[in-house]
Amino acid sequence: MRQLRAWCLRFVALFHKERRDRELAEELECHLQMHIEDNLRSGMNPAEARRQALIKLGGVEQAKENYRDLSGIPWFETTLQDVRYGLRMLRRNPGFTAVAVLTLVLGIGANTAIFSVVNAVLLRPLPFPDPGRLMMISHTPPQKTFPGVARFVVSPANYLDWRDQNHVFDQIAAIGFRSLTLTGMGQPESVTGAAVSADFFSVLRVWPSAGRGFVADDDQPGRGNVVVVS
Amino acid sequence: MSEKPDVWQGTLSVMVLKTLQTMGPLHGYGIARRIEQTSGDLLSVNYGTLYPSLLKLEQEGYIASEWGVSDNNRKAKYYKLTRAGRKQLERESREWEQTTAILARFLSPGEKS
Repeated sequence: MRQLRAWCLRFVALFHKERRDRELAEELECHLQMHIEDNLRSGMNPAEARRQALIKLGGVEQAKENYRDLSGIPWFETTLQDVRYGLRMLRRNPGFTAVAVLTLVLGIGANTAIFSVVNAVLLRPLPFPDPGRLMMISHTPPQKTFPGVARFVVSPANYLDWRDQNHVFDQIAAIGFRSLTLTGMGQPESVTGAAVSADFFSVLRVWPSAGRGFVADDDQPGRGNVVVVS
Repeated sequence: MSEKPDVWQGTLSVMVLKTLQTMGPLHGYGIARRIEQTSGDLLSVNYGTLYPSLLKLEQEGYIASEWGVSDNNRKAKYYKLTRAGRKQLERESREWEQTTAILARFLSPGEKS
């Protein structure tokens, strides 16, 4: 508590530096004069009285230095001085300043951009339990017919075959993204949706917090449309 | 004069507080003189030790200062003990008495265990 109080005062003192120095100088001067007067009273001649007092009291400048170290926050003051000096130098060399600022801007910008991508793609895992065991399966077409096409939409029939003949995965679900139009409530709205197979949620192991997800029956032909709204 | 030891840090603050308690409000020169006299002129108090110590005590709230006018009409800064200073003095005196008592036991001759 006392320490805190002392630091607060020292911080405040930073803003009254000149007054502080002036007051100390006055105080030391007063001290010296009193000492000289006492020496005179004890019978010394003026020169000797002054000399003795000065010898006795030690270096004034050193005392002021000690006092300053204690009254302010020296490292803070020197840092402030350095910052001010730096700013002055930057103002004096606008060309250098521009290059330096530009370099920093580009550096920081590029880093931020790269990190955002790395963070999203590599660092942040998928928001599902056991993301390491989730795979995206796609279809690579014959390169003779489709040169350069690495991924192809999987046909529903292929999906059904893969699902039924699968020995590798626990489960396989299908998803196809759709852009849908929501009408009936004033302004029509475009919403993003997906058509999925019934076991989609059980593959991802996520469950709705209210109502139910899809059940195996839902994707049988002639069952009508079932939708999960999130 | 130079063979007189300077007051070592830590004890000076107790001496200052005690001086202010017995003498009432006093300026820096008065405090220094009083400490030297009380020590039987064995100690020498100079600027470099006294004023930082006063400042520290003031920052910690144990003493307060105020400009005033001395007996011989000189403008001087007067220091006085605060309530917290009084308490601190009690505490420090107790600690010092204990420390010196313990040391005395070690150093006193003829002590048989």
